[in-house]
Amino acid sequence: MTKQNRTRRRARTTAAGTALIALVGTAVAAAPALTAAAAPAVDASPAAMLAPYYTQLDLTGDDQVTEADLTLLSEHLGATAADADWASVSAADTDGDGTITVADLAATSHRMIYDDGPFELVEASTIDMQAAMNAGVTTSVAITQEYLDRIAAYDRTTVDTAPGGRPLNSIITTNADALAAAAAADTERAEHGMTSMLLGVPVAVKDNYDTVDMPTTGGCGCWDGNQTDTDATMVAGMRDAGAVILAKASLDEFAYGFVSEFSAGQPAGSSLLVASPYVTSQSAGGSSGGTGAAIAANLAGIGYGTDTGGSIRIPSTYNQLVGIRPTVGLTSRDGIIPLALSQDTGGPIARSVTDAAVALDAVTGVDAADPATSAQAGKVPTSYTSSLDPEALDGARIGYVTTMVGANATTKRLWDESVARLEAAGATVVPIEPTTAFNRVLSEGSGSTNEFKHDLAEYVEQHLDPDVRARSLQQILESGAYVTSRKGTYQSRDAVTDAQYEAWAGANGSHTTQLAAGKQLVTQMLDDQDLDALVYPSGTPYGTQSTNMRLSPNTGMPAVTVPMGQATAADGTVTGGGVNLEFLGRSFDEGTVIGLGYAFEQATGARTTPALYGPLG
Amino acid sequence: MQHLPRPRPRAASIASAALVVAGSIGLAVLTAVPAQAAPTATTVSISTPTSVTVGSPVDVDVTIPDTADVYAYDVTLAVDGDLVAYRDGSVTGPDGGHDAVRTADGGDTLHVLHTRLGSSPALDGDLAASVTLDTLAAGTTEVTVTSVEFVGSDGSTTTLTDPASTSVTIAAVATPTPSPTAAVPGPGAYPSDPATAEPSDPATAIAVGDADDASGASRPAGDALAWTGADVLPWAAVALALLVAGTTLITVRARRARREQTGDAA
Repeated sequence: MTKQNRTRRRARTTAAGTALIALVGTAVAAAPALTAAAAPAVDASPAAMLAPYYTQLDLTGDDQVTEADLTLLSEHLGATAADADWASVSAADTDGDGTITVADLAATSHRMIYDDGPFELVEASTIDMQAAMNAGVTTSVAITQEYLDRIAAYDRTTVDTAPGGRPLNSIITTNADALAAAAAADTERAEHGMTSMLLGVPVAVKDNYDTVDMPTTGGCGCWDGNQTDTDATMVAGMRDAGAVILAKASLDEFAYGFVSEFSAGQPAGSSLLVASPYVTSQSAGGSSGGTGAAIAANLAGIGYGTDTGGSIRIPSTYNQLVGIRPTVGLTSRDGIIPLALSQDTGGPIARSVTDAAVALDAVTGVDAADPATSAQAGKVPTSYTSSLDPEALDGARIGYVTTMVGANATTKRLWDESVARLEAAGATVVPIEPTTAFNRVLSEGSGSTNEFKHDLAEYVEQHLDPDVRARSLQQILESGAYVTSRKGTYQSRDAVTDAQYEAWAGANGSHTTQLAAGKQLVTQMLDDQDLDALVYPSGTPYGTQSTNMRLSPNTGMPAVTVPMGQATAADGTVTGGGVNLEFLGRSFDEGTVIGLGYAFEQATGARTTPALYGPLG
Repeated sequence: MQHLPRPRPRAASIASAALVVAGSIGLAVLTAVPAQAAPTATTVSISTPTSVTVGSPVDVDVTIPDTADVYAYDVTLAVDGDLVAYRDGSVTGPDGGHDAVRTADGGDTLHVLHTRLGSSPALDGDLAASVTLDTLAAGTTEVTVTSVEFVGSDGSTTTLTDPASTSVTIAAVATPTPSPTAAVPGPGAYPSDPATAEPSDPATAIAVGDADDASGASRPAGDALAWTGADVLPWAAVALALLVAGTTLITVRARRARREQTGDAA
C-alpha cells in the first residue's frame, strides 16, 4: 500500500468511526492531546553563549542547541548522507557514521545549557549556574543567598587553625539590594529565558568601582561615605547583562600595592590585610586582592578588578584564578577611582577562562566619558566566548623571552611542564633573546607616581559624593583615616606638580612616548616571528617574577593569566602557592589570548579549590 | 530512583485486560567502552489493551526496569501501520527530558526517543515510556519492541534486541441498519440499569468481526463475510450499543478516579 492510499484510508476510517458513535447517540470522549514537557528556558535570542561547543551543533540557525534542534533531529532519525535534506542535520552526525541515530541526538542534547542534577555552589561556573537555573534546580535568589551566607560565615572568621592563620577580609560591603536584583533576574529568566550568561550571577567588584547601591571607598576609611549617584560604566554593563552586584571587594588602598591593605570601615589609623584562602598566612596579592580571595574562596560567582601594573594578574596567580587585563581602551574607566589612567584598565578575575570571557563581554564598549575606548570601535567580537576553542593551541606559535622565566624552583618546574603541554597541544614554542629595547619596555615604571594626584582630582570632581570631606591627597592625609604606612607615598604623590605630570603623561610625555614605543616594539616582535602570543610566568608562589607584570601595562596590550600549578614541598618555596602562565597578545585581540588560555586550561586543569572554604554545613 | 512518565490522561479503557509480555533477549554492547561506563538494562516489557474498536486509541506502555546510566534511548516499535498510527504529541517519557516519536517504514516502525538535556545526569532505575496509537482499521496488530538502544552519559551505547511483544485486536464497528427488529431488541439484550452495564469480558465484546483474529474464541459463528449479511446487522447494532455504553461508563469511572487522585475540579 502506498503512503497516499494509507492516508486516504485513514481519513475514511476516522470519519466512519465518528459516524458510528453519533449513530448510537453516545460520544466517547477523545483523549486530550498530551502535553509535552515544559521547554527549558534556554532559547532566548540572540544566543548568550557562543563557545563552539554550544554553537557547532545548532541546526536551526540561532547559534544554540534548544529543544527545537532536538525536535528537528528526532524527525530525521535514520536520515543518511544520501538523503536530499541531509545538509539540514549533517552537523549533528557527531559520530560521522553518515546516519542520524539516537547517539547523535544525545550528543546534540549535551550541548544545551541545562542540568537537572544536584547543584553545588562551590566551584560552580557561570555555565553550571545557568544550567541549573535553566532547569529550575536553583534560582538566582538561592545562589545569591548562599554567597551571602558564605561571606557571613567565612570572610571575617579565622577558619585556618594553622600557625599564622588569618581571616580573608576580602569583602568591604555586601549589597542590601542583591536579593531584589536576583529576584528580578529570576523573573527575567522566567519571561525571556537565559538572556545573558551573567543573568542572575552574583559578582563582586573591587571597591574602586562606583556603585549606586553601595559606597565606593577605594579601600580608604577616608572615603567610607562615598555613596555615588551613578554606577561606573563597567558596573552598568554588568547590570545590563543581568548580573547581581553582590559585594564590594577589598583592595590595596587606592589600588596602590600588592598586599591589599585597606582602612575602609576601620577606625582611623588601623587597617586590615587580605589573606589568600590557600595559605592564609600569605597575602592574597594586590591590589585587587579582595576580589582574588573572594573568588578563590567561592564567596561570589565572578569578580572584577583593575590593573595598572599587575593588580588583576597578581591576585590571579596568588589565588589560582584566571585574570584578564584587557587592552587599555577596551573597558571604560569612567566611574572607577583611578591610579594612573595611562595604564589603568578594568577586567575580570574568575575561576575559569570561560567565566572570564563571559565577564569581559559585559563590560566592553565605547564610552564617551572615557575617550580611550574609542579605539575599540570595530575590534570587539560579538562575544569573547566564541574564542573558547579547546584546540586553539594546535598550530599556534607561542614566543617567550628567555629572561622572563626566572629561577624560582616552583616557577621553573611549572614553566617547563607548561611548555611541554603547549607543545603537546600542537603549539610551537619559540624562545626569543631579549634586546635592549625590549628590556627598556620592562624597566619603564608605573604611571601611578606621577599621575595619581592628577587623575584622582578628576574623579573627585566628577564622581565623589559631595558629602565626603577628604577631597584631595592633602585632605586625605589630614583625615588620618588611611593606611598609615602609606603616609610617605601620599605625601610624595601630592608633591607632584602639573609640569611633572605633563612631562610624564602629556601628549609628548616620556611615559606616553615609552608606552607607544613598547606597544610598537612588542607588536613587531609578534609579527616578525609570526607569533600568536608571548607567554611568561605571572609570578612565583606568593611573589612576583622580576618585572614580568610590566609587559602588558607598558605596551597597553592585553594579557590573560591562567593557573599552571602549585608549589610542592620538594620545591622548597611556599607549598601550595599557585603560579600562573600569562599570555600576551596584540592590542584588542583578546579573543586570541582567551582562546590560547582556554586551550591551556583544558589541557592543564591546574586550579584547585581551597580546602578551608568548602560547602557550608 | 524511579523515573515515571508524566501523568497523562488515559484514553478510553475499552479493554481493561492488558497483555504484558516481557523479554530479556541478548544484551549487546556496541561500543567498546569500559563496562562501568556503558548504560545497562536487561529487560523491557510492553503493555497494551488486548482489544479495542476502530476509532478508539491504543495506549502502549513500555517499561524498562533496573537501568543504569541511561542518557538517551530509542525504543523501536514494530506495528501494522495499516491498522494503527502514532497520535502526534502523545509520547511520554521520564520527566525532564526531550521525548519524540519518529515514524518510519510507512508507519510500520515507531522510534520512541528520549534524551536527557544538557549536562543533566543519566537516569538510573525503572524507566517508563508510552505512546498512544490511533486505530485505523480492523485487524490484529502485533506491537513489538524490536530493539532498544541506550546511550550512556559518555556516549557509549548498549542495545537490547527483540525483547518484547504484545498484540491488539481492533474490531470493526458495523453500521446498524435502522429496522424495527434492530430498534426492539429481545429480552435481556439491554441491561435494565446502564450503571451495571460493564461488559463482563471486554475482550469478548469487541473481538467480533476481526477476520485476522487468531483466537477465535469470541468470534461469532461464521467468518467475517457474515458481517455483510442483513441478518447480522441488528445484533451488531445491539452489540455496538452495548459496547459504547460500557465504554462510556468505564471512561467516566476512570476520569472520576483520576479526579479523586489529582483533585482536579472537573
